[in-house]
Amino acid sequence: MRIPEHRRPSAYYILIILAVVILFIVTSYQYKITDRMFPLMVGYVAVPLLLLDLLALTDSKIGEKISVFFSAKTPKEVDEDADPTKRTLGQELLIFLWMGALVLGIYLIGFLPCTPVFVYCWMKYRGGYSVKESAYLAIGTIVFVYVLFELILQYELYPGIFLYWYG
Amino acid sequence: MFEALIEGIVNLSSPHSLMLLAAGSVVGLLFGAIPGLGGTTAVALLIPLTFGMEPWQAIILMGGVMAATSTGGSISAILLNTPGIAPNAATTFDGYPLAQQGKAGMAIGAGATASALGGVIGVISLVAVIPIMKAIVLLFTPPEFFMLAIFGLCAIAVSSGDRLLQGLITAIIGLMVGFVGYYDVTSTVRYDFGIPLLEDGIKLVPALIGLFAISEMINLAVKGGSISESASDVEISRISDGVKSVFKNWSTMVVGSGYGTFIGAVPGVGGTVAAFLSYSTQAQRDPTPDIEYGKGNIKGVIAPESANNAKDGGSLIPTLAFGIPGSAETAVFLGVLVLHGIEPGQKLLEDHQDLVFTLVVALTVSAVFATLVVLGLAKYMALLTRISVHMLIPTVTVIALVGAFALNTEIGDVVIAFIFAFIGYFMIRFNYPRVTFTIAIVLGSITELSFHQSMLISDDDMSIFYTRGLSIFLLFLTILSLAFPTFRRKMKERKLAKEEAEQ
Repeated sequence: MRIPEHRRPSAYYILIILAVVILFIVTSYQYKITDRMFPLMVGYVAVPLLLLDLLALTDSKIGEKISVFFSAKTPKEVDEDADPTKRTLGQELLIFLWMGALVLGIYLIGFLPCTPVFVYCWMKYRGGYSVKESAYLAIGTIVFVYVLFELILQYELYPGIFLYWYG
Repeated sequence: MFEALIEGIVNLSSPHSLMLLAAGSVVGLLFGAIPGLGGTTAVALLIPLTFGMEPWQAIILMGGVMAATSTGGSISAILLNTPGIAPNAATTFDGYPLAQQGKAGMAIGAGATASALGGVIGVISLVAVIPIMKAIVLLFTPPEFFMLAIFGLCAIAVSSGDRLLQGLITAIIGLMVGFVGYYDVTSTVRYDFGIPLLEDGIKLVPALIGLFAISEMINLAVKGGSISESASDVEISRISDGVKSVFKNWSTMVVGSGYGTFIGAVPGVGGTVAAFLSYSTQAQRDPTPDIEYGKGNIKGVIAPESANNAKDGGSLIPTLAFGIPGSAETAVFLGVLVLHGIEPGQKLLEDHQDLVFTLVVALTVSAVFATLVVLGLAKYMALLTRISVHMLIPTVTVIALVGAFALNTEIGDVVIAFIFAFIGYFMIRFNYPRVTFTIAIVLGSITELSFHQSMLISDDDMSIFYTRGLSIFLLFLTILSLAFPTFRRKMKERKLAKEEAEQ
């Protein structure tokens, strides 16, 4: 009973959820019975379902039976219907880094400087647009954000932790 | 009720309200037409704009968005064979062949008119149900509420296509997320892991913004390319023929609207199932069509389009009466209501009937307005689907994060949105339904509260859930919904065996 190579990312995903559920169950025991009763019931239902989901990924008879029982499809049919987009880990990590940099940038220097920088860099380096096109969209976005949120709705946008420290 | 209706009309008749409605409808049309965005993303993104508004103004804006999304989605379904949102998928079967035959205008005219009329029928059904909704809600005590929430979650899990197991897992994880933070029954803070940000629980709005708006952008970024590669240089003419065809085939439209309203009222099942069922029923009702279905039959456009717009009225029935959302869009809309201090259920139906009718009027006017816009600007809207993802991703991401921050002006909310964006992305990546997750988060506290209240009433006797008439009925529905995939599989096997025997 083994999990084929192409289904392993799904298996890792299930294992991560399983770890979270186990952490949830263990944590539940530190609360009073009234506080933990319903969450524990829910947690304990999750464990067998996750194990079944994991088993359904294997190329075994039982895996096929579970898959067919819950989805009316064999694991092979599920594979055929899967999103054909090729996603590499490197590609995903790169996008996560871009998004992480944006959130870190917002935390450090605030929304107003970070917004045009992020839009410009994305357009220029990921979209391959010219300096002029990238600058236009960056300026357009920051003007939209500033006018809508700061002027019309009168929110004070987060200025960044640096400004808090030095301001 | 009549007074509340008048108040709803008055609320909508000021120029400011009409502007809000028009803005909501335009945003709904645009987000509906651009594949990958959709109404839920639009509603989530617009939430921060409603903070300073009166509740009825927020309802008008959101009503505008919800009623217009599927009308916008029909444009890309017909012109590009790419449904703007999932409920428009059935429209591609005959809409796209019509476009290929040079009858795109006719298909768009029929789709938009069927959408408007379907939307109006859905809303009329909602109005018809409102007087009895109060009486029905009064039948529900905590055990029935608990069973209804469980039925809602199971129905939503089952509706997640062929992934029942994943649907159930997602529902459970969503409930767990709903348990995080302060539990007011026992005044305890739970599952916060010492993180101050989690003490008050996961805030719904930043979580939804991350789960729908930003995760879609991450997904688009990973996939790359433009939203639609197909050319949309299609001649759009004969729109009036399409409009007329709906009136000529009025029974198709009425049956489709009936499907939409009825199926929309079942939590989680939503417009996609309604549209497909409406389409297949139409094909069965018409065994010898002039033009074969799937090859450009105009009734194949009218049936799904009337159903997917009528579902808006239907899906609001459980949302307004019980606080159990009928779809992801209404789950986010429920977040808007809660944000403005409006509690769904008996109180809403008794004390805020004006708001319910404001929503009713907004949905009706928006359905018609969106149709007029589509009929006038179809050609230009089609161009939207060719926007490069590299223009969309940075702008939508930044605006979504600003919106998440604006709720409480707390930078922690940006982090919540960011974390949920990744959770949402992985759910897309591994095909786990985000709709079930969202609805479970919303239902988490209601479910636990009803469970505790039931235990108090029964002195910790679990039999309270299966010894009362309505509870038994809801339990039966839950079992029925869970058995549905097996039933469907058996039917499929039987059909295959029959086909093999005939060969």
